[in-house]
Amino acid sequence: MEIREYNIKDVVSFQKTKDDFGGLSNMAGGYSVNINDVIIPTVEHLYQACKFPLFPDIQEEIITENSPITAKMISRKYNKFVRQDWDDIRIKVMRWVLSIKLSQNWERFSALLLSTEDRPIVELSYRDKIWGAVENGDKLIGVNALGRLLMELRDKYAKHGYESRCIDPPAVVGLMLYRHEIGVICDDVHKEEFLISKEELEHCD
Amino acid sequence: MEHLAKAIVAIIGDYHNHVGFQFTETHVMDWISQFDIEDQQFILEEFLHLLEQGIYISRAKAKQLLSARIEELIVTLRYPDAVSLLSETVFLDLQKPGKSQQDLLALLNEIIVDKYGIDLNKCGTKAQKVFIYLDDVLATGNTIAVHLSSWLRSVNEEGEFYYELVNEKRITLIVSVFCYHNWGWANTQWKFKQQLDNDQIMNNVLLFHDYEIQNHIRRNNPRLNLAYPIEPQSEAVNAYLQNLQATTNLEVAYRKVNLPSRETFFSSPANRTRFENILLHKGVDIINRVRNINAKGLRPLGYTAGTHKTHGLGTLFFLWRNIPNNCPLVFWWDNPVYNWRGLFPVRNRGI
Repeated sequence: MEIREYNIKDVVSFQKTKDDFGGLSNMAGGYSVNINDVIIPTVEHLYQACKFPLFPDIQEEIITENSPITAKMISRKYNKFVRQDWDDIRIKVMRWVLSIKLSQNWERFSALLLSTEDRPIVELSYRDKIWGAVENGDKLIGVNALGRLLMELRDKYAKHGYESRCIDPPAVVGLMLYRHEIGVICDDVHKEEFLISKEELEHCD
Repeated sequence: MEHLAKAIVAIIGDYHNHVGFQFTETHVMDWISQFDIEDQQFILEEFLHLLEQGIYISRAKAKQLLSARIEELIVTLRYPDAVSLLSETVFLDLQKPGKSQQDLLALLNEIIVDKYGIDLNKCGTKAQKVFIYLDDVLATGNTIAVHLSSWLRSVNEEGEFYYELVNEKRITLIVSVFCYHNWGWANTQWKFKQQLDNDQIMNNVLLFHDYEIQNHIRRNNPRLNLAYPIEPQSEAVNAYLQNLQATTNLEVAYRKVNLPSRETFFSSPANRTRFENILLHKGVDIINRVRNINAKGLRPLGYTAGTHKTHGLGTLFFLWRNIPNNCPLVFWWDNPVYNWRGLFPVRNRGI
C-alpha cells in the first residue's frame, strides 16, 4: 500500500477512543466480538492474539486482559513468538477482524461508519505511518491502512445496508484461537439457539 | 460391590427424601445391574471417585452454600449486615412452579427466617437495589438467557428499563447458582448482548457460583470435568450422531484424545475414556428404544441446545431435589416401558 496525503480539514480522524469517532479505533470498548464462542473485549485483543496461533497461553493472557492498551503491551512482550509471516498477512488479518467487528456490532458500527459520510477516514498518529497518518502542517501523511480498510467496509457494506452475518476467514494458513482453527464465523447461530430455547423451555430445566 | 453401593448411598442418600423416596443400596445395585457385568464394579468405583469430589449437593449442603452466599454478598456489595442487604434485595421469581427456582427460594426462606428473622416477602421492601436470579445449575444457559433478557427489557414502577438501571449501576443484577458450565455462561453473556444490542450488559450481570464445569472446549486448556467422549465410536453411536437433524458444533462433538492436558477429575485418563464410553453407549441404546422424541435437545449424554449436533452436555453434577436433565440419560432416564431405571428418579422432565 502506498503513502497518501490528506487535507486535515477534509477528513474524519480519530486518535482516542473517547473522541467523537473513537468507536472507529480498534481499542474502542462496546464492540466486543465472539470467535468460536470465546468473547473478546475489543478487536485489538483479537488482532494481537492472531499473532500467536501456536501459543494459546499467550493468547489467553492477551484476551483475558480488560484493557486493550495493556493487551497490546502483553503482545509486545512476546515479540519473539510472533508468527514469522505476520508482516505478509497482517493487512488480511486486520481486514478480517474489522469485518467481524461490523458483522457482530452491525447497528452501532454501521451507523458510525455511515456518519463519516464520504469523507476520508484517517487514524491520526504521532509516529505510525503504516496503520495511520501523521500530521504535517495542514496535511496528514501516511499509508493510513486502518482508515482505508474502514472506508472499504463503509463503501462495500454499510452504505448498501449489506449486513453480512457470516464472515469467511482470511486466506491465511493456521489462523487459530486456543488451538482451534478459525473458520467461517456466523453470529446468527446464537440467535437461532435463543429462539429454539424459548420453545424448548417447557421441556428443559 | 455392596461396599461401593453403601459408600455411594452415604453421599447421595438424601436424594428425593423430601418426596418420600428412600435411596437404598438395593436401588444402587438394581441400577448397576442394567450395565454389562464386566463394567459394573468399574462404574461404581469411578462414580464414587467422582462423588467424593463434591459433585453432589445434599439439602444440608445446599443450605450451607446459600447461607455462605448471603455472607459473600454482604461483603461484596458492602452491606453492614444481612438484614440491610435483604431489605434491599429482590429475589426474582421467573420460573414456573415446580422448577428449581421456586424450590430454592423456599429453602432460602427457611434460612433467612431462621438466621436473620426476615421473611422472603419482606425482602426488597425498603428499596430495590439488588436483584438475584437464583437457580441450581447453569447448563446451556438458555433458560437464564430467555428469562433475564425478557426481564431486563421490562420496566420498574417508575417506567425505567431494568437493563438501563443495571448499566447505570443503579441496581445490581446477580445470577447465583451452585454450579455453572463455562461454555453456557459465555453463550449466555453473548445472548444478553444480542438481545439487548448492548455490550456493557454482558459484564454487568454478575455470576456467583460454587462449582465450575469447564466444558468450553474451544477455550484454553479446559478441565473437562464432565463426560466428553473421544472418537472412534461404535457404529451405533456414529449412526446416531449422523442422523441428528441438528447442524451446529459437530466439530466439538468429541474431545481430542490429548485433552484435558492433565487429568484432575476422573481417576485416570484411561478410566475417563472407559466411563464416558459406557455412558454414551448406554445412552444411545436408551434413545434408540424410544420411538418418538419430540424434544430437540435430548441426547444420550443429556440435554443440550437443540441446534447442537453433539452427544449432549454430559453434566456430572447432582442435587438432592432433582438432577439436571443435562446429565447423561443413564442417571435419570426412568421409564420401565423403555426398560431402563435411572439412578436418580426425576420430576418434571416433560418428555
